Amino acid sequence: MYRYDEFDAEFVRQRVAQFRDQVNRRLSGELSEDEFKPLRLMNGVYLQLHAYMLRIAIPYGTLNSRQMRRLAHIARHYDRGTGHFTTRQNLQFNWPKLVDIPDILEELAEVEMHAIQTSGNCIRNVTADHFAGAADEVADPRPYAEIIRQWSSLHPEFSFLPRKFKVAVTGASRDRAAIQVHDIGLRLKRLGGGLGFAVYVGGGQGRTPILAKLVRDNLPEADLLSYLEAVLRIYNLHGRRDNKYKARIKILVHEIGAAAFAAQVEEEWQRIRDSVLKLPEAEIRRIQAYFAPPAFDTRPHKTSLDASDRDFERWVTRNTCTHRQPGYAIVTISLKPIGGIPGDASAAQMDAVADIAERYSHDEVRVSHEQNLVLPHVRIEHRREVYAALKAARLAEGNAGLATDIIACPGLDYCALANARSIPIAQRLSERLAARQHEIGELKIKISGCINACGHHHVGHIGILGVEKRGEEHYQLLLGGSAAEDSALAAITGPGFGPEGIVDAVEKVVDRYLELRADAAETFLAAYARLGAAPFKEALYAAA
Amino acid sequence: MPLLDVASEAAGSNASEARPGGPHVFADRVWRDGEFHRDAWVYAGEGEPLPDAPTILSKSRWLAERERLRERGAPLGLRLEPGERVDDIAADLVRFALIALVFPKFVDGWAFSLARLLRDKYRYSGELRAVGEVLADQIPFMRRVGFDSFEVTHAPTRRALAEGRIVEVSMHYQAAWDGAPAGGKRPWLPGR
Amino acid sequence: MSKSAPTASVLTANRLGDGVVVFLDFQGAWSEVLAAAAVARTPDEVRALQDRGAHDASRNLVVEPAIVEVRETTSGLVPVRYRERVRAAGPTILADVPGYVAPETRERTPHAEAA
Repeated sequence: MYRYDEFDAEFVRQRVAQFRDQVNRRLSGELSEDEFKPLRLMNGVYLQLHAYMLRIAIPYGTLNSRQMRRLAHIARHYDRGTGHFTTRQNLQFNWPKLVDIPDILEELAEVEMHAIQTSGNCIRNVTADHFAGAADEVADPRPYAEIIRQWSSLHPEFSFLPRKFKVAVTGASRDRAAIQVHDIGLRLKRLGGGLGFAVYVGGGQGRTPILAKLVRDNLPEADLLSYLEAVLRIYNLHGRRDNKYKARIKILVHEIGAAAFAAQVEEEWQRIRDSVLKLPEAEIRRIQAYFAPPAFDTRPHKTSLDASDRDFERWVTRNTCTHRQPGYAIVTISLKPIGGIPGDASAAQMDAVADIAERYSHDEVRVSHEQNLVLPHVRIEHRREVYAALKAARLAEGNAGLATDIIACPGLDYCALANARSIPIAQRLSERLAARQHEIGELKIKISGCINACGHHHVGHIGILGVEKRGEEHYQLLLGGSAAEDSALAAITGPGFGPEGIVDAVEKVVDRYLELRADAAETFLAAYARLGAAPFKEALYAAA
Repeated sequence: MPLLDVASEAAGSNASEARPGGPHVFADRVWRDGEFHRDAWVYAGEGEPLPDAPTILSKSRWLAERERLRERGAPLGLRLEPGERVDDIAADLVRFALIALVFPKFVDGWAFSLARLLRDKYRYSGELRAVGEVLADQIPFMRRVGFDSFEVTHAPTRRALAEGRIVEVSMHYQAAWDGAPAGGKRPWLPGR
Repeated sequence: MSKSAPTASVLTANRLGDGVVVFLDFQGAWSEVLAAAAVARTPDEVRALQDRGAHDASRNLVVEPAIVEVRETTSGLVPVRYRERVRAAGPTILADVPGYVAPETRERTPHAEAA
């Protein structure tokens, strides 16, 4: 993984010092809250329902054991012993004190971490396929994510955009990065004799969910930064600033049309493409070298799947995937215990994961946008030890991709923007569906507590949106979305439900699916595509 | 040289005096070359007579009076608001000794990109001034995209500038508009 | 809950330094306890609360002062909006948060050694 050089280390140190100065000026009153708010957001500091919230960047979801242990230490020392992994591969602490945050940032800087640009109207954490470097792919997308991260850090021109800006990169044909619902989505591809990108612009969820448009199909890798700069410049010049809900680039692309937008970008890009932003091949290779595969153990593996432990067997089936390196597996650590809070981990669990990663995964962990963790490089014969260690830490639920592997935003329990709680819905659904989850098969349920869609409900196979109706919590049900390469936006079924009703409603949908599916191999999403919404609406709304 | 108006100081350190286009509390409100200067420029609004002094015009006024102003001796300046274009007056830019870009709210970052275009694309070499809500924490970004003067009426920002107290991050991952070396070894930056 | 009971108002904010939810009490101090909040029942009293909120915000004691409608019930002050009830009482799911340590019992560990 990437290692800071002196430049990077000094950059982060200075940014911490600068933020410390900004905090001090706020505490003394030299900065008003209005003046301070954009500055604290640019360093990941929100004011939430109960307290400040600090969002720490985990660039492209990759971290090592030392970093994970530092997160555990911060949880214990500065927070309340716990943290939450997010749908953008970051980590959130819910109880930091503003006065402590400069110290927290200093401790993060010591392990090459930061909270730079995890909020605010600037370029956010660049996310990537959480199986990068381990699964079948054209190339590892993370070096490019790292290059974009550096170029976008405290970019003087793009720090006060009309709105937030999110970039995702994938190198695989299976899209595990949800690139089509990002402001810019990049798909690595072979181009001529080298590598390049398909560039998608203008995707997003929230109030107006839109799938991104393919704006340039063949961008040579050397032109990555100049093209991005052109896109950002057009957006910064022409994006709307009159209405917060019309300020994302997706609205600009929609309003002027994808072709016109692409033409404007192309014109600016042709002007700057041969400027200093052109990436020398040597630089790309230099960054790629940081992401070279670890020193794999190349001995042939012994497969002896002991079938006596059914839970272990199921865990292997659901939570491990084939690695591109023979003898290895990609392991998913579920942060979705049955009836638990999606994405949450205690300090002790973070330490446990750090130990396991250091010992069994070449010291590497990933955070997925589905609020789980990944051990990317595990020798097949170590699966049993890894499972045992995870089980001891209550992290061994074998439910990856199943109905209880629910994504839920923090919702009204934590978030000042929320209209309804999402966590208790996730918990009740998990409990309700656990017994049948293997029978149900792959089913991605995603829950958001408000229109901002941080739970990604628009791209859930089953999506739930919490709203406020006459002062009470109310939930809309959506079906048929997908965040993968078959991207689709879920469709609302009809009238919404109360907190109890929504759990019953999901169960009715599941029951109808089980009833009507062609066979056990037909997933919910496939069945929905084949049958359409009608049989499900009937199950939900026809008078009993 | 008096930098601060005592009356506005007493109004509270959070008070922001920035009122673009409105009456100015401070005479020495332009920060340039490391100090505050009296503003030599006057803004002539729509319909106001043009004084015999360096005068800033809006784009619409420039377009209306462009021909008439050919004979004018005193320097001309241009003031642009968010959303205004310069591609249709590209050939005229050389006529302006000063271009002022407005930040109506400090979070409106449109002018950062227009400044880049003026310097990089249109090779504008006159004074590029940030006006409006110009605050301490944005000034380092403004410099790097090409602004070289700043109209500052926000009291704490004036103090910070006068005392050299603006905390910057001196390591830059992006090239400055004048190609000045950024202090690092990223190959895509100049000065390697 | 009776919708016909008259509502009253309290003033809430977050403390600047630590973000904790607070309510203005009858002594004019900021209390973490809703039950201690000063209650306004007339428009003039509400305005006085709002002025006090703005004043203390400008003095950098608190941020985002806001008026919260409450009902005065036999079991105490209850915010009208569900959101405000959650805000006053804390997250509803704390018992299920892995590793959660409430502030009073939190152990302070020394600064991390550089690994």
